[in-house]
Amino acid sequence: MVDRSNEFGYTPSSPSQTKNNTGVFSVGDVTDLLSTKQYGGSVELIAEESYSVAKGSIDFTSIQEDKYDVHMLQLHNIDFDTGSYNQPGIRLFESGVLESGGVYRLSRQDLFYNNTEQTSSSTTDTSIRLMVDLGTATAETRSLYVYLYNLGNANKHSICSFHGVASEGTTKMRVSYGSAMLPQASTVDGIRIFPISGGNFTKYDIKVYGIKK
Amino acid sequence: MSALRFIKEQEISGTTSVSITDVFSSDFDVYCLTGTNISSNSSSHDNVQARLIDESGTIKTSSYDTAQQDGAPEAAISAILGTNASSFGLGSFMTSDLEPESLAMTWWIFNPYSTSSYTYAYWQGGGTLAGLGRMRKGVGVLKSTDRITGFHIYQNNTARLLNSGHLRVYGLSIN
Repeated sequence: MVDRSNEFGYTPSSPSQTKNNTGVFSVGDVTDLLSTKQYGGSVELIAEESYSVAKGSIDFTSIQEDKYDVHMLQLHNIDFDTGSYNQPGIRLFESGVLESGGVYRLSRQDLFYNNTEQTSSSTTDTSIRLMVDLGTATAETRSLYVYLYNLGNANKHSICSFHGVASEGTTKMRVSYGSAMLPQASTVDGIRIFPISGGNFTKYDIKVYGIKK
Repeated sequence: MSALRFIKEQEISGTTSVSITDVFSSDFDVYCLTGTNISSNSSSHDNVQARLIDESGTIKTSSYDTAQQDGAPEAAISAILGTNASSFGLGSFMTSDLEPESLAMTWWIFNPYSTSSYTYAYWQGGGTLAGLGRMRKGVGVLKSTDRITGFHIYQNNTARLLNSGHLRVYGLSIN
């Protein structure tokens, strides 16, 4: 790429600028930088949905799986209306068809405020169980992030890793982290998030990002 | 504009080890490295380890302290610990297997370019191997103030090749 250091940098002036440039990106400058993936950040928001009415599941079906091989979900302030204990789960759509069979594999560790822990693992889950069960009382909430890999690659299994924290009452907290996979060589083109124990979401703010290649 | 700024990509093809060099600099203090779609040429799965590279191009092979958890859907989670080890630990970049099974990792690396701080890292990821799954989460430190500029992964068994996939490095911008 042609050296443009005489054109873009800080505007209107830099506290310690080592080269004198205009700080203005021309259309050509932007084109050049886009070609080297160096214009703009690498985390791109694909879709988002926040609570407006109670819903039994939230589907993201335009995830641009052909464009990204790493997706990131942010699930913030998650709560449900039913179940003494409930937890968010993920199922994946393969070429538009929801996979709800006992094929997901999970390994997860849960840590508790009282210095105890437990593991949760399965080779025959019907979904990816993201967090240890938690109550549904007011102010109890969960927030997590999930990395998903290889979704659009029909020759690879889809893999995810996740990490979250939840409050229970006013004095307790729980942490869950783990990994899961859908061990089927398929194109995953959608993600469903739903309450494992049934019922509806009553609070949520979910964002789906792609990490640019 | 998101804070994650792409720096470099390294494609993986038919090699027992992969280095991605000249990626850490004074531009950033925190870096994100992703490893995706990585499979090997052998159905005998093998551990993949991670190391760092200093500014002279030397792969650092000592002074790593690490703590990892290894989880499997069919077994309990176990700890993998190491002090003054030769890498970030056994399977610190997961385990490799034949396609369609693969590994995927996300690493966060702190202060690699600083000569007044050790280089710290934490990582998480998963993989499918031998028809099953694997979870890995870990933290580690290279107890050296050498200037670190690159990252290296390698198969434990050098008779097996990493056949496919990518390493990508991003810097975390603060402005």
